[in-house]
Amino acid sequence: MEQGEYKVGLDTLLKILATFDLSIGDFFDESARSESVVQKYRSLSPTAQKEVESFIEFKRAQEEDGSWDSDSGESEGDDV
Amino acid sequence: MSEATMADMTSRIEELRQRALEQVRADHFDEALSLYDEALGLTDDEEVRELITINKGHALIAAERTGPEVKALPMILMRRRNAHHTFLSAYALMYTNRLANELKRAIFYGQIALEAATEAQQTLWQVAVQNELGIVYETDSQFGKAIESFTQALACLDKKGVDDVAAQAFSRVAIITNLGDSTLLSGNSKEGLRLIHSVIDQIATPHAKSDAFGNLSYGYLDLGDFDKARSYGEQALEFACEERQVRNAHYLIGEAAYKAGDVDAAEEHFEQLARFYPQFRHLKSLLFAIDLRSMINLKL
Repeated sequence: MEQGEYKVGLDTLLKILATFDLSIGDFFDESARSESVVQKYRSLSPTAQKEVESFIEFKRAQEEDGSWDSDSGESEGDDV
Repeated sequence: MSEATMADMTSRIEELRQRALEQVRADHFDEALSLYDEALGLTDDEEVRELITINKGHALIAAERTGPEVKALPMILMRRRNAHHTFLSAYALMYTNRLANELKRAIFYGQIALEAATEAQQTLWQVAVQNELGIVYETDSQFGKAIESFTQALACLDKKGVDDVAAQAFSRVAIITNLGDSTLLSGNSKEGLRLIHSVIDQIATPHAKSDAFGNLSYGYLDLGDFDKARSYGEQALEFACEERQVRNAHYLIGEAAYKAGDVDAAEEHFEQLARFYPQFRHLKSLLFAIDLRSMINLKL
């Protein structure tokens, strides 16, 4: 093997990748969702974008101090 | 037995052996095995029996079968009765280990075969073993060593003493094609394409044509010439003889079409490829997202 470039047959490669099919599928679904969130954010006005950033900061701080109830799917900050 | 009768018998055994070798070259393995058995039944000479046993072992390996003659090969090699038997048994063991994907062992036996061929100053043996060693190295992704072996094989062909014109031409096309493949895989696409183009019109069998066109498609993909990549991929599909070649061709055409902006054609060919992997639900998404070309060797 040279320079860490080991090449395999297409069939072998696809069979290896098939064993990770679920995570690859999850990866693509997650990528699509993230892209959609980013696109929505970019379509907002600068003021609204600031508000979203503040809200994200608020949610991040909230999760760090453990006051967020993950089971209910709601938080104390929902009325912000 | 009189001397004349013995000479007749020796001649008859050699005739049977040569006919068997011809049958092996024509892929008529059952006929070859019967001829070898007939020859073995006619002699008690240990050296002759050993040679026929090696030949029969080789025929069994070529037919992807096994038998006592294949199992006897390591012992025959250890005995090293003469350079011819050492070369033939080591070569057969290299070949069978390559088929079993035991590449380190294949290289080990290949080196022994090469030493025997060199010591015996047999040019055609050297050509055969260097070419086979090149294939083993390429399979093991050792492209530099593969290129060196194929280059050595070509150098041997150019030596004086190889006067079989047909064997010369056939070997040269096969070795240049192999050298082109390894050169492409090493990343030198322009030189790899030049080598394959230099022999493409002399490639005779549909199977070899499909592989060569697939490799041209692979090389042009690397150079960003997607029209040529697609055209050669379509020719690879036209001549495809086995599933590997069909899968490769659909992948190459799909990749070339996608990169050229023809998403519908890419979708169609990736769909054809995905049918080979019904359990792989996201295969098409993967193919659209990632270029797998740098990770694959189309021959495997």
